[in-house]
Amino acid sequence: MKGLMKYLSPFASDISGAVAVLYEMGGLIVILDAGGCTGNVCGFDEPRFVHGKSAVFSAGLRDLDAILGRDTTMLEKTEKALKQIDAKFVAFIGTPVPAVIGTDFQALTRLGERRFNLPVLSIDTTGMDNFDKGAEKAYSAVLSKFGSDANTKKEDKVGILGALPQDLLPGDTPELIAKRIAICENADYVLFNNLIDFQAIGDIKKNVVIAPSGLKAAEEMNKRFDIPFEICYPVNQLFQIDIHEGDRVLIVHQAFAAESLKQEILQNHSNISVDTATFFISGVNDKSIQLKEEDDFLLLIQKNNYTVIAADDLLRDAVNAADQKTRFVPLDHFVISGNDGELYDV
Amino acid sequence: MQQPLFLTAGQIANGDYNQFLKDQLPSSSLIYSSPATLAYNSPGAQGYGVKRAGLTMPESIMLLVSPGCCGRNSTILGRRGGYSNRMFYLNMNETDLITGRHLKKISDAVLEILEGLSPRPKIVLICLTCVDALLGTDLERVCRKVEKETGVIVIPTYMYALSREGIKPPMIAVRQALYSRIRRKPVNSHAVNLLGYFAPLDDHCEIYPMFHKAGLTMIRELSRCNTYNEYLDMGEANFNLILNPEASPAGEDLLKREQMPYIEISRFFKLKRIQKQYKLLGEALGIKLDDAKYLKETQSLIKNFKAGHPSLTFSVGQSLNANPFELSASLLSYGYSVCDIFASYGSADLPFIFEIAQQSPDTRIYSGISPKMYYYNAEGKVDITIGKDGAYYHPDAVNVPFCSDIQPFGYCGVNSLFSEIDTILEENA
Repeated sequence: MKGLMKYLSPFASDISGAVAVLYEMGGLIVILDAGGCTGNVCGFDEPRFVHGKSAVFSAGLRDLDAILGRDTTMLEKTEKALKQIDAKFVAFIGTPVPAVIGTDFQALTRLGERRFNLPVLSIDTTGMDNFDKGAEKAYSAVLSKFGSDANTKKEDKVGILGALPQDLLPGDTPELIAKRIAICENADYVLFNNLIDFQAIGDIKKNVVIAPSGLKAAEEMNKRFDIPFEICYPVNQLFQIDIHEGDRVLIVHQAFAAESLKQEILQNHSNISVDTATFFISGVNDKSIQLKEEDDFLLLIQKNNYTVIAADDLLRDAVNAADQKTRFVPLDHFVISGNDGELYDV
Repeated sequence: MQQPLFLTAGQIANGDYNQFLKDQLPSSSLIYSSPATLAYNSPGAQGYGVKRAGLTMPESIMLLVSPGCCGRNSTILGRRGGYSNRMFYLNMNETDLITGRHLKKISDAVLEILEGLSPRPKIVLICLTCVDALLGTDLERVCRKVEKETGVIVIPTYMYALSREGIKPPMIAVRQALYSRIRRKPVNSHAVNLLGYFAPLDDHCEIYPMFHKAGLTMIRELSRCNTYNEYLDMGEANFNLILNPEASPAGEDLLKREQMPYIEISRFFKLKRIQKQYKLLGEALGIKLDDAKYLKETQSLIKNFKAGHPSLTFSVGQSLNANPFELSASLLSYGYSVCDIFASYGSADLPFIFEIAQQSPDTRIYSGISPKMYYYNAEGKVDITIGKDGAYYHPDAVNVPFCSDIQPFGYCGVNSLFSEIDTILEENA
């Protein structure tokens, strides 16, 4: 049934994706919820939460705030917080509550900027889309508000888009990926995890998009600032998946990582076939099979007799349910299986 | 540098505490998110939230009908807590929000889930979240329809975070839901139900032998019921004993609906309070509850503990099996120091705060959710933090989580506390 998850459980939502992009930018992030969404984002979808401070707040909405549309109260609380915390901007992050009551995010931005005398971003995430959609929206919002090639030193850096810690292959971090790319490009890099990266776009000679969440921003930068981009996830040469000759392989991950992994496998092995699939944005040319529902995944497995499925461990139960005699190879994807408890061992 | 928000116990006792209470509420401020306040936003992160609590019902599964983000924590917690095979999700999209069609899908979803399960569950808990609160969904009506169409018992539960300071916050509502299927059976005068917690009391809790000795030989707890029929046997209880105030409305429901009387007692850590409470309980029940032996054992344990640790300074959080203010007042009464308390307080906590103020007016009380906590840095020399969140506030101190699922209560609870502190201090020596 559409929407029903019997074997899987919910992935990180667009709310988490938006927060992930903004997390290190020095803004005051206000999630427009009652508290639960913030708890999920911080406690389960943000690996940096335990180790680094970020000014992430819940708006603490209560029933009457939502029913009466008391945006003024929320703005007052934000203004009060800004008197206590230094922030470069304010970001309002949408959740199902503002989605239900039809919050006007554009108006919120205008009201907020007038009131706080600070830039305000309002990201209309809903909690009903996936992580990458929220990240995509956040990248676009920051680019639109802060993107400028005015402050340029013509440094010829390479920009890396989509390098969020939640959306990488196992063992990778944004910095490791960046270094791999920087070596290939023989240039310094920016990760677009800082406002200055957007404010000095003129320093960037080329963007490398490693996850579909960064694709739209790359296209916008290409259009506005004439910066070319390339789609490529540089797989760690030491990364191995246990594959044998004759295998029919399915890789499930974010589309660009899955595709890069596929190419690595095909280069290093003969007589195998590899499909890639994703529950997230499939990206350019739909190289990855788009999965929307749990049933799509079950059907894909049942129809294709894969001998190896490389996917996040959370998908194992679904693979078993499809009753295929496949070899399951865990391929962690934080956006799927989330924080596995480091927070609770504080 | 901004200063975090705290007041001393003395300031609260002598000041406008009604205003202080208001200042802590989410209606006044944004809620700061730190690892220590995670359980405030997401109660399931530490212990029991609505979803895990609902699955205390034996032979049950839960279907969460919500936007995908609402079920996210269960993705992780379900696997850690071993109940992921009992959690199912019906994800809503924006069209569902506008049309309400997600409600029409529930029966088919339940049937599809039940098809694949063996043994077949007896109960399906349907859980809705904030969006349905705003849509005004009549979940009870929906559940009655689903029950009729599927032939399985369907119980509504609500994860309405929007109403957590309202008349019926989620953790009160889920308790009412869990006890809602108890029906009166012929009364067994030797039977009593312990209501309020989602996990059993410690097996060594003196309530069990004291009650047995007094003739209450059939003591039931929801969490110890392995089958739905055992749960239904709770209907024969002479009375309900409520151990957690969040179960009071459930007790009231059972009184009104099934004429099952109830008595409330509380969890304390000060021996005099425990003793007095058992005395009053015995008087109310018309039985003698002989707690002398247990009191003596605990007094001896505390004496030995104090001999080994004559002088300790504590910091108390709020993610623990205790009321942080009552616990702090108790620790002070045992001759220890309490440097700070990280907890939001309500009017029910004021008597304990006044008690703290009398013994230690400089004890600081922080609201962990205040935006000012962004600038918090640990201050003061603290030996031990109690509560899982305590480790965040004083990372250099020894942390005693005291937050097990198994519930401490009474003298046994005090024994557990000091034993846990002792063990952890030894491990860190």
